[in-house]
Amino acid sequence: MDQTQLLKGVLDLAVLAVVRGEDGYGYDIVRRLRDGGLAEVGDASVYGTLRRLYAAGALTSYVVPSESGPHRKYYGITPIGRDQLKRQRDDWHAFSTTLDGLLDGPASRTTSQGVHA
Amino acid sequence: MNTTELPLRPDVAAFVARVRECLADLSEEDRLELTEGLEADLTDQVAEHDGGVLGDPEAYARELRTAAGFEPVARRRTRLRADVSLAERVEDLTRRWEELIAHRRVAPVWHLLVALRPAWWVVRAWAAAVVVARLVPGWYPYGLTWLPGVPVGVGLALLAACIVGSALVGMGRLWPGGTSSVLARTTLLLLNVAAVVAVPVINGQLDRLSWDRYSQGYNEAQWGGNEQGLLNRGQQVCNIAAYDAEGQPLEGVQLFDQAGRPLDVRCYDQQATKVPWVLGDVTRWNVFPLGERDRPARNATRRADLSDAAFPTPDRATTPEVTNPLVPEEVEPVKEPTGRKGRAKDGAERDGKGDEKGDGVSRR
Repeated sequence: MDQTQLLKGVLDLAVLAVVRGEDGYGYDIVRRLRDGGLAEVGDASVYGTLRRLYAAGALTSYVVPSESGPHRKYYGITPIGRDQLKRQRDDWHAFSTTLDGLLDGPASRTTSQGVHA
Repeated sequence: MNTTELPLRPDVAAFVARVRECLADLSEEDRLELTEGLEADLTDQVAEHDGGVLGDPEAYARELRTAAGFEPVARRRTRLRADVSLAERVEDLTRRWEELIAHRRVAPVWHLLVALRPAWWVVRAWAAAVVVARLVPGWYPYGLTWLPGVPVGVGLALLAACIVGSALVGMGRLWPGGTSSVLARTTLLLLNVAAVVAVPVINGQLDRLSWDRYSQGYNEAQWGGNEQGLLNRGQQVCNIAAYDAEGQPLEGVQLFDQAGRPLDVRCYDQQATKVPWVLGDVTRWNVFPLGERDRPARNATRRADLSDAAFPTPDRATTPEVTNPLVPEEVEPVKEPTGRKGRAKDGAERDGKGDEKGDGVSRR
């Protein structure tokens, strides 16, 4: 399946995950995502997501001026962002468990847990 | 943390500028939020991939907007922002307008509209003429239907003058047409908008006016009676006095029109003031003359009383000697001299004569 389609729902989670440990600027975060395996992630999607997370209070941002080139804008996670990360990670685990159950076979369907959004 | 600083590349700068344009509808804060640091990020990216990573700025902007939770494409209406000068906005609008009218589907319609401009000049001239007509002191109730308030001649002259003026403005020969100054353009725009608004308003007023006239005419017709009856020179005929070729008054003359319909007379209060002829129990109003009463008899009892009724003698009625080539000369020297005023009960005898002669009054 097209990775970009799958990413739509979980890009927030992925971005929060890669800035959890260390602040980063836009392309830096893109690179982290790609290095982590999301090779097809579009940089514009990541920048847009960063902005949206910032607007929601999950990220903080600061500009680092440079003398010779354009300014860099760094993003760091906030307590709200950490809460969101935790919540969404739990959701993701529940969801992926459910989906794994479905994929493993019909027998496991009765035992699989429902998705709790 | 990668803090390597790279100089801004011109292709990146142009790309980012184009992306910013695609975000023009967003607030300044949102736009800054989305594009701040974009140059640095893209510069990094380009440096890392050795160029060739910058794609279509519009697609890029769309992706950026979608991910950030905005509509993928800027809405038509750009929000007014303080940092864009009025001239730029006008320029932008002009550009969009030109794009619109150059559009494959819009262009034919636009060409048609352009061709119809003179028609619009006439319409707005008419609107102006009506407005002027309304300003004329002493509103004139009758005029041209579509240009009320002034006599016909004045109205036509006024309309002609307005059409000439409107056309000159339209062709750019008369202020406020032809110049591109803000004042002139604004004035022209306001005048045109006023005309657009005025036309339906005027139309509504004209409708009402014509209805008023209609109902006025209708009322006048009502006042004159339900049926017109017989008219002579615009006046209702209430009675007819017939004379034969000798100038003798006739009684019991029955009149019919060209289609054989009885020539009934109808007048106000006819039943009460006239004595009709009778056929069995049917009153006949096409037999003349009708007897007239001195006083109206408004009920059956009074109508039965014929004491005050008599055949009328019309004033100033003269019967000159007339001839008709269809009537053969007849020598009838001996004629009983009957006084013209002598309304004797010899109608039947005269009827007989009239029948033989067959002149003057048609009989059946």
